Amino acid sequence: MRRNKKTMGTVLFLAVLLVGAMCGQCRARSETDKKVDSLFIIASSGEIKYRDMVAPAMDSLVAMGKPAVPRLLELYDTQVARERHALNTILEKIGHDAVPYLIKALNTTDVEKLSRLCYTLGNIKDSAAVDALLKKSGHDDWGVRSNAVTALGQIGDKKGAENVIRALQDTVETVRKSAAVAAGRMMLKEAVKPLVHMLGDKYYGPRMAAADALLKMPDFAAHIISDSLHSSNELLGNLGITLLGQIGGDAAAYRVGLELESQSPIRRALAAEAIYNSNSSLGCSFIEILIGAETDSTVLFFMNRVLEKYAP
Amino acid sequence: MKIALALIVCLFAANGAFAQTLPDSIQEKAAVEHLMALLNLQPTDFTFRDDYSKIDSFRLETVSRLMREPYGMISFAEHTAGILAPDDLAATLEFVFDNLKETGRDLPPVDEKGADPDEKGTNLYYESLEFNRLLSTVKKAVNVMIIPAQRKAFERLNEYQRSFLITRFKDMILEDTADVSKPVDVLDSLQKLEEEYLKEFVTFGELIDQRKLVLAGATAASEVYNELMRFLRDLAEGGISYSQILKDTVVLPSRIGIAQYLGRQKGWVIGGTGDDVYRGEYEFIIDFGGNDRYELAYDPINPHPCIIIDVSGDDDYVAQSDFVFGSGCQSVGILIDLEGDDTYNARHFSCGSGYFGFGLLYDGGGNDKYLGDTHCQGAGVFGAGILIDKSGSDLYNAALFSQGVGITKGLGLLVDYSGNDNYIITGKYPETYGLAGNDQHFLSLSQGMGYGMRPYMSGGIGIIADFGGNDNYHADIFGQGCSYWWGLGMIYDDNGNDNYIAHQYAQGAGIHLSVGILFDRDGDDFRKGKGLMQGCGHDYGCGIIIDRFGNDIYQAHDLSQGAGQANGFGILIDDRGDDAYYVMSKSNTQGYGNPRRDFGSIGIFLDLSGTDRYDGNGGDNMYWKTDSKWGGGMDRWFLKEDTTDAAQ
Repeated sequence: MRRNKKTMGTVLFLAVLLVGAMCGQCRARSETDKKVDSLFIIASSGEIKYRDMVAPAMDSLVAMGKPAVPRLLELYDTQVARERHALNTILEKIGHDAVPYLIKALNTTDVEKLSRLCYTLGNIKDSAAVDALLKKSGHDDWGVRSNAVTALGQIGDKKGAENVIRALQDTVETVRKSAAVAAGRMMLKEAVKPLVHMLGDKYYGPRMAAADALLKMPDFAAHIISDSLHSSNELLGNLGITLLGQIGGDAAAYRVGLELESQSPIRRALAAEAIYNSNSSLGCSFIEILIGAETDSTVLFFMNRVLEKYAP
Repeated sequence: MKIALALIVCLFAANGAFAQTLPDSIQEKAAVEHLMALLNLQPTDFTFRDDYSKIDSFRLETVSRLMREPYGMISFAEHTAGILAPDDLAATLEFVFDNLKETGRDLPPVDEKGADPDEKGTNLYYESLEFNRLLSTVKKAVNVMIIPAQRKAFERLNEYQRSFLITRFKDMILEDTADVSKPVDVLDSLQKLEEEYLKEFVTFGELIDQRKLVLAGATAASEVYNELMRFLRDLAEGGISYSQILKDTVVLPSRIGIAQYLGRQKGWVIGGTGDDVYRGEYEFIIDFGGNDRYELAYDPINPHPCIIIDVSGDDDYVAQSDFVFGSGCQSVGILIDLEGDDTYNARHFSCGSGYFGFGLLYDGGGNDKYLGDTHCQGAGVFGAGILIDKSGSDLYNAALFSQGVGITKGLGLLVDYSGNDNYIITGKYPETYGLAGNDQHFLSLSQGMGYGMRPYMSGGIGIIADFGGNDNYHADIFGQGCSYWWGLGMIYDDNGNDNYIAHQYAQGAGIHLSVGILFDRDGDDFRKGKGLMQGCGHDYGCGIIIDRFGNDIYQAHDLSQGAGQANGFGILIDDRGDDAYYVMSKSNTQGYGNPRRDFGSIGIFLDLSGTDRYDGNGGDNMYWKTDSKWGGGMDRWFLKEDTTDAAQ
């Protein structure tokens, strides 16, 4: 926030001095750099009145390709979220040509920058970055680990599988979440058991990411989930029931139907909802048998929904 | 958590009937757990890490705690209301001081060392014991408490850094209406320049120990106020008139300067009971009556305490500069106006503004008008700004960063105890980033707003607490229990039929790693706006809107009414009453969460009793789950009416 108490000339003079001082510390600016800078001001502008110019400016930078990358990476240190977003978008669109520069930039000790570089590499999805990302997937900083694992998942190269599975056990929930997402993207069958275990994670990020990942591998996941419904971790069983409902089919409906006799009203309600979602009328017969004995209003609400769907 | 869960189990075991004497807060929590379990979530999922962004040294402990446990905002709001409701100034000021504690820093000890040498000897001018006692208290507040604290708070800064505070830092707070017409390269240069200012300030900002000044200001305000009340009581009981006190003075020996007498010091003025006019800069004014006019100014280059006491009359306060009327700029400003319909016509940093200092405006009664621009009416940055209005139907009108706003290391508090009040943030400073689409809107950043300077400095705490009357709250973008970047914004409105109008980021909204709550306890309320409001958390932010009693109406366009976006949490809880909920977009409202960073957000919507009407995802007497990651709602008779004898 500012107030224009000074004259515009004074402000501009200060700005020129500032930019001059900053540039004095850097390498000499080439014509390319100057072009990148002027386009980037527009490409990263958030002002309403310049909104129509943002996309063309980005496109121009992308069209410059490789020569623009060194200067764009110099601008990468910015703390302005809008500029960071613009940089990421431009580098992603430049794609393969930017990868060697981004890999080289991974040598930085600035963990925040490192984390963002991994993110950009992941979005470019170039397998040339896998080896470099594998090294970063064990970094001390959880943000770097998280984005490195995410990037491995986005690239999808099986070389990353071991590191991704290891990250499922990370102490930081955000890294576990990223690992679960990566495992789903890579369709890692060997990750199914730890992913089922993760359905009971104490934080929703990994828990729900594991559920999404398992839904991508239903044939491998369904029976392991079924076997785990009576885990001592109630969260695991409850989410397992919901997942089986989403996987759907008669087998799943039958298995969750058995949970309608659970002592837990929440579990019974989730079972009824899973039957509703399973698109199997088999589960409906469980409801018809048990609804008369049910006293919990929440469970009855979900049971009645099933009956309305299958036996209107 | 386990206790609450056990309660649910026990209560459900009793055929779903809830114990009738349980407080609403317990029943709400049980309902939240119940709904979340049906969504495969649990209340402990409501948490944010400290290190989602780089931890800076400006973070307040209260904000850190509530970021770790955002649902705790509800109990924080109740706790705050419990402290503020009795109109106990000392308790209020203690609350302010306590909540300015920084993460990992202990409270500074009360330090009365370094008193002004002038304190050693005092000659009496007035004969009244009671009045001399009051004047001595003011003198002690100024010389023993405030001036030494003022010195210590900034002693580690050099001259350039001190001047930075009243030039460049001030420019970072203020906005320019001309921005809208500047070309892109100029705007970019200005933004870069501003960022350089901010980076520069960060290198020395933590050397400022503003809490010493806040503590001194709070203690001084409390002691002066108590002594003033005692003075007025003694006068009333003794049948002594003001005019008598002012008339009974000593005979001055010719060889001693008048300025050495108590009450006659430089910058001090003792007014009369008639209509007086005060012009210029003062350290202390006391006026006993009449409709007075205060045309005051303050030069921030020479910071000093300013204490004004006006006992009665309909007064006009007309600012001749920024930093007046209960405004502390690198010092302490206290204004106590006990009676009358007063008008405070001020500029920036006024009417309860703490700018690297402590500011208190206490208005004891009357229908008052508070007019200002930026950082006024209960606003604090590196300090505390407090505006307390005890009674009357008041108008609060400002443009930006006003009406209960805490910026970095600051706490802004506006407390209004009764009357039908209007809280208006006018459209003065255009929002130029298109946050609200292509239509023209204005920045408010006001009305219970906690604001940080992203990404370098965490935010402060902004609170409005209104304890009675039918009130109108009007803002545009960012306000009404809203927060930004490690800040806490809160409105607590105890009762009355209130209207809340805002466009975006409002009415219980936590935006970008922050927490915001709108808590309206009672009354038939109306809330309207476009989006990211009414219980909305965006980008690791949590927004809560909670309404316990009354038949309420909620209107919004999108991303509202229990909506989480970009890993944020949005919570809407309405306990009792027949309510109506309207939204334009069903796809992202009423229990909705969307994914970012490859995982979801959480939005939950709970209406716990009454016959309710919906235009959206919800419906009366049902559960629903939205097609989102993750969210849903319930409208169930979860509360039982308390029909016990005790309740009757």
